[in-house]
Amino acid sequence: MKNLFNKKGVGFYLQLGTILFAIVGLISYLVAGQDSYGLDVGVVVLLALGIVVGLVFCIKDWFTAGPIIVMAFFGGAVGLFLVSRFMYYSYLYFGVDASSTISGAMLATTVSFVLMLVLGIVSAFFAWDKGGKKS
Amino acid sequence: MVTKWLVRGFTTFFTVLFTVMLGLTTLANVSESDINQMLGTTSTKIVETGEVVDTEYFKKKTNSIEELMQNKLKIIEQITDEGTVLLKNENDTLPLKGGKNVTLFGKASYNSVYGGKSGNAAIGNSGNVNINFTFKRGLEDAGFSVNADMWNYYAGKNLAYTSAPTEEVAPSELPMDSVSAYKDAGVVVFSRVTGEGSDAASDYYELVSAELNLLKAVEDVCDKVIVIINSPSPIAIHALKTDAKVGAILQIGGLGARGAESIGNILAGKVNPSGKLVDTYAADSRSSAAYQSAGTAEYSNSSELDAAATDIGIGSGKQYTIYNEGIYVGYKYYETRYEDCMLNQGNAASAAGTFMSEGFWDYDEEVDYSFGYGGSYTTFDKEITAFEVEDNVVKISVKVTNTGSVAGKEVVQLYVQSPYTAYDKTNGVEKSAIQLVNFGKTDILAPDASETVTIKMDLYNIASYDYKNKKTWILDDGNYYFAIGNGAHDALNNVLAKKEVSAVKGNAELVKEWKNRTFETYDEYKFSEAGFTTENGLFHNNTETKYTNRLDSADLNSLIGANTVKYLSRQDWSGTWTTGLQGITATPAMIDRITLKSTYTPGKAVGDKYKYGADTAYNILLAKGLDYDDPFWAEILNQLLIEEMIVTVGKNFGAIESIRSLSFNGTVDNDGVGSGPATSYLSTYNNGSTPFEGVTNYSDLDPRMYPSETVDAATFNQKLIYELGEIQSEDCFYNGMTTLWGPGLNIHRHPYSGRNFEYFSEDSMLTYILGAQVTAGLQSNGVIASPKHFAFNDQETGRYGFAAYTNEQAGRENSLRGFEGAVAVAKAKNIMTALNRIGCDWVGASTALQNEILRDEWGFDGYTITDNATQAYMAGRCIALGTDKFMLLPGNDRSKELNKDALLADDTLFGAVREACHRILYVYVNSKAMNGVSSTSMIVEVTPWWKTVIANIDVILGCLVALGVVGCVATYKKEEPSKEVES
Repeated sequence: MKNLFNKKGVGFYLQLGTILFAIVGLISYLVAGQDSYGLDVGVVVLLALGIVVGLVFCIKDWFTAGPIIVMAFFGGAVGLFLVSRFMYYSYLYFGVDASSTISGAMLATTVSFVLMLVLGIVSAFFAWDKGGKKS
Repeated sequence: MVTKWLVRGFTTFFTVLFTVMLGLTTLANVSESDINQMLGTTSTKIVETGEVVDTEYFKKKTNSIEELMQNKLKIIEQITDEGTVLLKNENDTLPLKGGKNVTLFGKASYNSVYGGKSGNAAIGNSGNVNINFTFKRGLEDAGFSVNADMWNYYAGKNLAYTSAPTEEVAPSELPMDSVSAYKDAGVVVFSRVTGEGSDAASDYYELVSAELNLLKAVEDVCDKVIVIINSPSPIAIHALKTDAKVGAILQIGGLGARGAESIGNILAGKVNPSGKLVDTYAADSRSSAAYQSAGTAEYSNSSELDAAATDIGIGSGKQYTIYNEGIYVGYKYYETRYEDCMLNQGNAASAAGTFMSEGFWDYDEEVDYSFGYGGSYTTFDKEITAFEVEDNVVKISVKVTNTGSVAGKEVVQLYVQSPYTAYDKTNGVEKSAIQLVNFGKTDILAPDASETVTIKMDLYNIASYDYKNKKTWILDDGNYYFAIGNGAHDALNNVLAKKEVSAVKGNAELVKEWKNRTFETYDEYKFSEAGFTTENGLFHNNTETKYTNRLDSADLNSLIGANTVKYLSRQDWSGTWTTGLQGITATPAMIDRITLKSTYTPGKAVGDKYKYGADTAYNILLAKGLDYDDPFWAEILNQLLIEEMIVTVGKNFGAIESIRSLSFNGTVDNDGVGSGPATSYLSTYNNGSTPFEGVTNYSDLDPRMYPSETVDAATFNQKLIYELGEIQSEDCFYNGMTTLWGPGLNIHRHPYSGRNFEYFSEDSMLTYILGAQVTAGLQSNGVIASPKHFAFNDQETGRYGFAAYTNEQAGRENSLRGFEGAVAVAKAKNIMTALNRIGCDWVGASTALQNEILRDEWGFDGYTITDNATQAYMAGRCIALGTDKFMLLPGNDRSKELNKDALLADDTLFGAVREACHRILYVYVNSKAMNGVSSTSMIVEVTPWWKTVIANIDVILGCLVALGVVGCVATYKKEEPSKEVES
């Protein structure tokens, strides 16, 4: 394990953060999705796939394609999330319902998703594996 | 190396953008109509394939948008002029004749209430001050000099109009030194405002110490003190009424664009106030009978409801409220109890329900200003010159003479006291001691000038609903007292004077007594002057359906058992007074209804029962002008594809999708209650300038400039409210709207209801009359009105599904009456249903409400639309229970129950969806939605600019991703050797 971390670059650690936020986002979304607006299964599946693929690429960034593939899943998940939660956010934005405030779980979901995307994109600008024959 | 990571980084970045964008593209595609409505674009175009003919079936009444704006602002200002109520004016405080240097005080003097706190009515507070005038501008335009230092101080603080009353700035923080030069009058503005989704907190309408401290400080430095109550709901202002240093109190609801201008002109004496209160101003805002059972409670066995709920859920169906007050809402409670106190009957003077009285209930301590009260700068003498009851129509003429020294308008308010008979007492029929019948308003009368106002109304409107015995409307035998008065209390005192009750100051000359010799039931009642015209007034269109009990299932005494609920009765005020909502256990039958299990039975497979997708090519215009029952409608409906039927009833946020095969171009429908139409003016009307400083294009101008509905109602001017409907209709010609969701016709059950700002009044007859007038005005030129929220949306707490339990007398005489006026009198073509339940049934699933009362009894021939159907308990099957159209935001649909397979498997639902399409198309083929369509028109698809933009973005992002991937491959291969070197 120590060897594994010794071989990793900055991008790897950023990607770990990305996966961490994806996991937090997934859990908080599972909680937030228990409200009347419901849970979008597509979001859950894409997040889960992104996490699994992300972890695999963390072991080895084959062809340096890791972030592109992982973030395709995460981007797709966020896209679906926006579709399924459009009504929720438009309610908040327009103040249609004076009693509507963003739930803690949904706030955590949203923040996690934003950080997940930002960290994931930034991680792509750095090597995940240190170069060299040893790798 | 750097290139490699840069290429990968940007490729990842574009990948994220691309995938997120694909989601947004999906959203945009399913929301096409809604986006078109928002941006003023279209996805279809009418193409004329034959001879060009005039297809403007409904034409604008104005020649230009400038003319519209001129007329609109004139109406708006007249409404706020006439909708401002003078409550107190002592020692000639008003009009301000002497000095003109004034100071505005109070956080609401800067951030005022223009409408309500949410949705359509909040616009005034985020818009251009050159459109929605501030108090400073209003006063300066009227000739006053306003203390700029104080104004700037409040501007600096910029306390939100929604901020709590306790946030009022302490006098010690204010620049009081600046007042010395502006102390001719201190104008103090106190406000309250609520919005959708929640009711006000339990003491919100009480004055707080921060406000009273400010008032005291103003009294110390200003020569005169004037308080402006800027609130759609009544505030408890006992402290102001009894404060000798407060010279005058003016009341106005949401200001709209010109309310502040009206206040300025009233202070200056350029306008003489003539508004009347639409709600009782009680000394304690929580003292009404209805407020005692406000809010909701949960069934004691609510866990059983959770367990019984299906996949559609029940929303807030575990909550309920009970209308324990029965018919005694607002003044009907205070005034009836007052009479019973005066006549020493029904334990009226007991301590039950006392809030301000000591030991026993005392009207003078409990009520400050009664419903209908309003002062003037002049005085009027009234004389009843004619009175008759003929063909069941009461007709009264009142000569009004201005006996003062300045010109002014006056309202003639006609009230009635119906006999409270032995029959009523035996059968649980309640009678308000005084009830508004109708009203008229004079033109401006110069000093010594007179005008005779004639009012008439059908006796149906003073009948009582006997839900226990006759199960229909009844007109008791006995003596009826028709009285004129400046408000309900004044009229009642006149009645008591006529009845020679001692210790009452009333004028018996303003009362006419009419004896009804026979007890009558109105189950098959026919109106002698059926139908609404601006000349004959307010008479129902007759139907063949009997008026009879429909809402037994809303009464817990029927659902659970006798005496489950104790409704307030004037037979024993003390014994029937209720505090708090009593606990209820839902029965298994109730649980089945709440969960929508027992309400609907699916039919069998459609088979050959209905045709659909017929290979005909009828143009919808062929149905224009046909009766609803004309056989040709079947041909039109047969042509519809099932997919088109589903889209028509179950897509979009209200608007109706175009149906190409019928050459029906769809509609643009939007909110319009209170503040006005919510859709912007079309950019085609931009001509480089508007009448408003800072606004160049009409398309940037928000049409929502009208004051809150409470101000409309306070005018007590029927002609003006009809004109309000007309001008809002004209607005719709410049913004492309077909249906305007308004007016709001629920009642102010108590001051704390969150949505009072967009409903007229606590009184159902005032709501009935003005609802009919504004609806008739709106629909006078091809625009469709949509009165809302039908029905029992008299509170916001738990609004997504709480159950309202009531008896049918209260329901008929209070909550439903306003809608009855708009539908049975003015023939509204659309009704928006509420989110709550009536009894156990969501109102959109209540056949009793939607079919039996609305359609059968009142003759409704339009379509119903839900309010925002976010919750799944508003299930697709409700189309078969009376709902015609779902209002669905993007991301929300009813495809689980409204899909092709489901419809083909259930002929009941199929038939209902088909009928809903019939109703919708019948309404719109006879509306301005058909403008531009001829019998040879075709609807063709066009791509709105925003779709082109989205498609281009998608393509560009896709290309960038592809390019990035190629780059990644290239740089990966290119840099591989370097790895070797490195090693």
